[in-house]
Formats: sequence, structure tokens, C-alpha cells
Amino acid sequence: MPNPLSEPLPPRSATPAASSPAAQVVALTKTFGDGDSAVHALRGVDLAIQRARITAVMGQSGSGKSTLLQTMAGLEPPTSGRVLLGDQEITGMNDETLTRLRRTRMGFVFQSFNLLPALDALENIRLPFLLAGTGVSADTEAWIEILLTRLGLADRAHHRPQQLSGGQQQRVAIARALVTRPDVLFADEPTGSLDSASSRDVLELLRAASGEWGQTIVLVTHDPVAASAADRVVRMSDGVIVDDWAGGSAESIAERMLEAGAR
Amino acid sequence: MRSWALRQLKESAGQYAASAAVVAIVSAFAVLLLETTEVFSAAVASAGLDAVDAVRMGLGTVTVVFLGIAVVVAVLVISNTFSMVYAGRVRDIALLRLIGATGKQVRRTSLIDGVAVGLTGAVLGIVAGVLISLAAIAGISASTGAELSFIFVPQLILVPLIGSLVATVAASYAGSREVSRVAPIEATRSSAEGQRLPERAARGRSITGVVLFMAGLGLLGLGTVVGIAAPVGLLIAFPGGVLSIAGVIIGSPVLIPPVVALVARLLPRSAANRLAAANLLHDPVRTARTVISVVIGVTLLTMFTVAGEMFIAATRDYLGQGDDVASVIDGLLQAVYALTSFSVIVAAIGLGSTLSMSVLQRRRQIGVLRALGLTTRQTRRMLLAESLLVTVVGVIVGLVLGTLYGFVGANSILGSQYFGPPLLPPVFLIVLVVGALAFGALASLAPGRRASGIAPAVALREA
Repeated sequence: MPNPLSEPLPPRSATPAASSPAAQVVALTKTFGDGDSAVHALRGVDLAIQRARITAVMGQSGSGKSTLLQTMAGLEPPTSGRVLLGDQEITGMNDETLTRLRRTRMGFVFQSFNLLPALDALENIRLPFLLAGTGVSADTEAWIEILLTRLGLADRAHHRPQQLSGGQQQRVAIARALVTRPDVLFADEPTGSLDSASSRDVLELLRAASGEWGQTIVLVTHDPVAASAADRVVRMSDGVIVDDWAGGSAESIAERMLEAGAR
Repeated sequence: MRSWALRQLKESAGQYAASAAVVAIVSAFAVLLLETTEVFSAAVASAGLDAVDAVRMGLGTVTVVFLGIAVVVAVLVISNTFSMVYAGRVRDIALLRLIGATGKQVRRTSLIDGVAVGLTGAVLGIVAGVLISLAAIAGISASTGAELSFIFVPQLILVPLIGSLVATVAASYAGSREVSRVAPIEATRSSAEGQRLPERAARGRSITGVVLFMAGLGLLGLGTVVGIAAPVGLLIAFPGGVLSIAGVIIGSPVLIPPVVALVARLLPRSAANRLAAANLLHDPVRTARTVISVVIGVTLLTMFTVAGEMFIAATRDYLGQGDDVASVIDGLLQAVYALTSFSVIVAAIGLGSTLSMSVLQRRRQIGVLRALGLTTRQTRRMLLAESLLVTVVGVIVGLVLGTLYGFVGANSILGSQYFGPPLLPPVFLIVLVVGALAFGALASLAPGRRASGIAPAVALREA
């Protein structure tokens, strides 16, 4: 594939005030079930996601990191606390409004790619516009061209997901998440199903999107290599944030996680 | 191996409910037809008429033709269910293959499912058929004063029982063929994909289908021409009809999808319509089976209506007035509609259950769509569009075939005296289209509700 960084990304059309957070949760709790069988997945989380940065949320299985992502993205209602996208409160919104919000202002990248097998790569990328029922503007058409080229998918546009490798599928998924220029891109273990070379591609793309294009990204992962792409690393344990630092190399992150685990 | 199969059977019981219902309906239909033959023959005999053999022959033919048609529709519907249930088990089957089960062993477990569905449906259907017969006989006796009574013959049980078992075992075998070829390596891969015909099989099918269809058309044409000379054209045209419909059924996975694509292009380009078309085209085998189950019913209704109208027109033209003939033919048409309604009901149940099961299989995909911004209303519309696309394509193909068969059938018999154009009464057309659309909309209600209830978080949870 061509080097994804060989061409400059276009500047983001509208850059909101860099100071206010792109997304925010305040005193967030989430409890599944009740009584003796209640599981407290989140026990009071405060987190502000900075614009144009990659924030990695780390932690072991059951630490609450996936629940945090689902709640921030409005996929799960919180038990208490507030969730904001920009300065808009999304807690308590009805399903219809939330769905439209996800469609226009959020992007998703999943561990298992989740492309629609019935659509080809280009149709998958255009899916958000299909769902919105809006046509694809000439401006967006040009943006899709750039994404396809930059993600090394130009000659794969009309392939079905089944005809693509895992790494290619995930690049299509990233293009699908970037195509609407969302306020926040939520990535759930995006390298979890990939080999190390494809993982590196995906991480480079996410870095390029944030660094050059100002894309805000929330990256949930347990992999120190993936987290090393982040500008900030937040570690969760038992439903609370227990560590929050500027990240660093995969080795340093792994070391810090190990030390924390040993304590 | 057997305990695994039995456990799987228990888990899939809910999904088999519609198939068992279909078998029950067809079995009850068989009991009713057979009992009618017996009771009528007995009544004719007791009246001292010597037409018993003719009555038996006539009713026997009706039984064979209409029961046969209902069985074909049922097999199509049931094999869809089986192939979908088995597709859901692909990973388990691959795991079994991985630890040493042979393809043959896997296929054998599918027999258990086939026998279970066939037996359940047959028993329910026979009981229902006998009860309905008893009620009908009592009702007719009471209202007409005729001395009719229920006559038991072993066929009442044997025909539906054996027929059901043969049909369900055949359907389960057809459904399991793909899955038993699952390579052990699939255990390590992710979810099952749509059933795509391998390139060579697809070409083979389309060639066979087209050849049969063309041969059938040739005979239909010949029958019409012969019919102009002498009223024996039907003897040539009838096998032509059978051949051509067999060609359509065999070639359907290749021939039907392009029609679906064409009709889909005429719909407004909304997300729901576009996704519905893509879903249908992604699994041509399943889509073709569902469409064909609709096609058969519509073809029958149209064929008899067109032929009936042409008979009426011919007698009016030829005899100057034919009101008596018209009322007789109208009566016959009503009987035909009633007989065909069984296969129509089976097709409707099949459509609903196929959609429901496809929702079950696409939980994750639908969750992804919801996460990416498909609203609950769009989700329901997507299912509605899938259902209506199947129905509309079924109606179009059925109307074309039915009109052709009706036209050829009527002219191959009447052509020597009166050669007329096909007649399709507007009222029939309106009732058919409205009825089919209503059926399609109804069939999509439950699956649509189920699909719109899928939480978008499913996309993240089920890794």
C-alpha cells in the first residue's frame, strides 16, 4: 500500500475553539442489573476529551473502559451523571435525536471492522450519507477520493468486505468513520483483530487524522502499542480512572501499567 | 454426535415453529382433500349413480395437482428455514469437524431435524384436518339434510405422514448440503456469510434453468398452434408449462436477483430501500426461494383467472350468450381460489419467518447500522422494503407466467373454435396487487419490530 503519510491531509473545514473539550463526562456511573447481582461498571468517572488529540482509555477486561466508550457515544444511557458532546448535553436525549447525532457528529471504528457484507467498500464509506438521506456533495466526493487514496484503497473501492484483508477492511472502516468529519471518532480496540503490520498502518492513519486534520479520537485499547499512538493515556480499573498521563512509547506505557498492576 | 444434534434441535425449536406450521397446514389440506373425495364418492354411490369412478378420478386429479403444488411451496419455504438454521450453526459444525466429525456425520444430524419437524407438523395437521372434516361434514349434513358421515381410510394418515417426512427430510438435506461442506478451518473464522452460489454451480443452474424454460416455451407455443387445429393442444402445452416452471425454479437463484435489482432501482433512493435491496441481493439463494414461493401462488391464481375469463368470453362469443356457463366457470374459479389459498398462506408464513430469521442472523449488522445512524423507523422501513420487494417481484413474475399459461391453456383447448387474447380482469389485478402488498407489509411487522429493538451497542458487545 502507498505510504498513508505521503500526501498532506486537507485542513479541517471548521475548527471549533480549541479550548473547550470535544466531549465530556461528569460524575458518570453505570450499573447493570440490581440487588445482589448488580455490576457497577462505572463508579463516578470525570473525563474531558481534548480536541484534535488521541485519548487512549486503557484497562483490563471488566475495568469499565468499554462501558465508558458506549456511554460517551450515547449507545448506553448512564445510571447517573452527565455526558456532553461539545457543549451539548446528550443524557436524556430520545433515541431518534441520539441516532441523528451519532450519524452526523460521531464516528465509530470497531474491533471486528463491522463493514456491511452486502455493500462494497465505497458504499460502506458512503453509508453515513445514505443513512442521512442527504446526497454526497462535490466537496465530500473529493474528500472520499482523498481518503481512498490516502488509505491505499483506490483500487479496492468496488471490492466486497469478504474480498479484503483484515487490514484493508479496517482501513475502509476508518474511512467510513472519517467521511463525515465527526466531532469525535470512537475506536474500540481497532487493532485487536489485526497483525502487527496492519496494526501499524491503522495507528499511523489515526495519528495522521488527529495530527494533520485535527480529528478528535477516543481510543479504547488494552494494547500498549496502540496506546503509544495517543497524546494522553487514561487508565481505568474497577470503574474509576486511576491514572492519567501524557503517554509515551509502548515500552514505557507497558511498564507503567505493569507497575500499577503489581501495586 | 446424536446428543449434540438433539441439543441443537431444542435450541432451534423456535425457529422451526413456522416450518412445523407449514407442514401442518399442508397435511391438514391433504386430509381435507382426501376426505372430500371419500365422502363425495360415498354420497354419489349411495344416490345410486354410476359416476363413482368419474368422481374419484376428478377429485383425485384435483388432490394430486393442488396438493403437489402446496408441497412444492412448502419444500421451498422449509428448505430456506433449514439452510438458515444450519448457517447459524456453522461455527459449531466447523468445531465438530475440527475434532473429527465427518461431513457425512454432520449431514446425518440434519435428518434428525427434518424428521422432528415433519413428524410434529404431520401429527398436528392430521388432527386438525380430521377435526375440520368432522365439523364440515356435520355442518353440511345439518344444513342440507344429507346423510353424510366421516369415512376413515388409512390414506388419511399415511399420505400426510409419509409425504411430510419425505418433504422435510428432503428440505433439510437440501439446506444442510452447503453446511456439511464447511471446512474445519471455518471454526476459527468469524460469522457466516450469505449463501453465494459458486461460479460454476451458478452457471450450471442458469443454463439448466434457461434450457428447461425455453423447451417449455417451445411446447407451449406448439400446443397453442396445435390447439388452433384441434382441441388436443393442451396435451402438448401442459408438459410445456411444467417444464418452463421447473426451469424458472431451478434457475431462480440466477434469474430472480436481476429482477429484484431492477425493481429496486424503481423505488425512491432512500437508505431503507437501498439497504433492503443490498441485503436481498447478498443472498441470492434465499431470496430466490422466498420469491418463488410467492410466484407459485400468484401464477396459479392468474393462470386460472385468465383461462376462466377466456372460456367465458369464448362461450359468449361462440354461443351468443353464455351466462350459465359463466356462472359455472365463476363457481369453479372460486373453488380454485380456495384450493390455491393454501399455498398462498404457506408462502406468506415463509416470507415472515425468512425475514424473522434473517433479522436474527443480522443482529450484529443491524446493531452497526443503528450505531452509525439508522433510526428505529428506518430499521422498520428497511424490513418493510425487503418484504415488499420480494412480494412485488413475486407478483410481477407470477403475473407474467400466469397470463402466459392461462392464455396458452385456454387457446390450446378452444383455439380450433375461438382464438382469443389473454383476458386479465382489472378487479382481479387490483385485488391481487393490494392483497399481495398487504401480505408483504403484514409479514414484515414482527421482524421489523424485532430488528428495531436491537440496541446499537450490540455492534461493540458481540466481538
